Amino acid sequence: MSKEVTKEFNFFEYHDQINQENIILSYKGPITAMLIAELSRDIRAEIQGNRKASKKVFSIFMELAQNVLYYSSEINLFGDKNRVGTIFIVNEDEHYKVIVGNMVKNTITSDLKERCHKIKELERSELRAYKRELRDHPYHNDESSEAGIGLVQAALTADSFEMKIIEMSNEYSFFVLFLTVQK
Amino acid sequence: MEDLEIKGESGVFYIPTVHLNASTGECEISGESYLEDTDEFYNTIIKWIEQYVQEVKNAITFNFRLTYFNTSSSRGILDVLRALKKYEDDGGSVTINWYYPDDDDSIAEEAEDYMKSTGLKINMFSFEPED
Repeated sequence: MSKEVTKEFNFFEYHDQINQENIILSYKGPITAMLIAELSRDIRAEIQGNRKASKKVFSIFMELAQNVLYYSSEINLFGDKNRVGTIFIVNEDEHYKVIVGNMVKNTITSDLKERCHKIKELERSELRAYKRELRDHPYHNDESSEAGIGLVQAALTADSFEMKIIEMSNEYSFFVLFLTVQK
Repeated sequence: MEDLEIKGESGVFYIPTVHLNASTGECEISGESYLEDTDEFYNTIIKWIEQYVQEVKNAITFNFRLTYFNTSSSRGILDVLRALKKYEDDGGSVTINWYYPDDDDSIAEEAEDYMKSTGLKINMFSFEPED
């Protein structure tokens, strides 16, 4: 009996949270290029009346969702074996928050941490120079440089950029980015 | 030499509108760019420019009027600009006009970044985007 009660209780708590925090988008599952385009239209429809902020949220979503599409380590076993990610867009008082998470191999977490740290520390002009560097000299088949330009672009668009990595097992960690756009 | 026309659409993907005119040398790409196969799309434009350089050899004016493009498209655009820079270096007359939405600083910044990356002169103009 207690199990049933716990389940029900959690459901309502979760439901409450979604209502309170005004979630524009909440998605966990396989990501496809088509789904990204579809969700991007929902985002545009949801955020109206603030064209600048709406466009920034749209553009951050596009880059980070594409990083999940190409680089998440979690793969859906059914259908086309798409990569899996979690995306939230939350409407808060002063800003919109975009949260994107996906599994990565533990072997790349130190590189990811270093890259995110660099992105966070650089001034805007330095960040633009870094983006030019990644764009002008793409190293073919180098996953981290491909994913890097999307991260840099998202950071250039956002007003704040935070990341967290939580180790899930000996092999995988959960990598989460939190970006905000001021209203 | 034939013109290249691509009708833009905002359907499953965001495909820009392209008009490349072989008789006047007036070229324009406009709209939004998020594509299924970005390399193929921009390579089609680059091949057209290369053919124009070989066969027509006249002045070329390239107008960019994009309101959104993702970072993979931004690589494609860089390659288009590199092809135009090569033509200019070889003695061709090249004019690049970059129209950016007046509510979007990042697209204006992209033009500055492309100038730094390619050494091309890019004329910048703001415009009021339609809803």
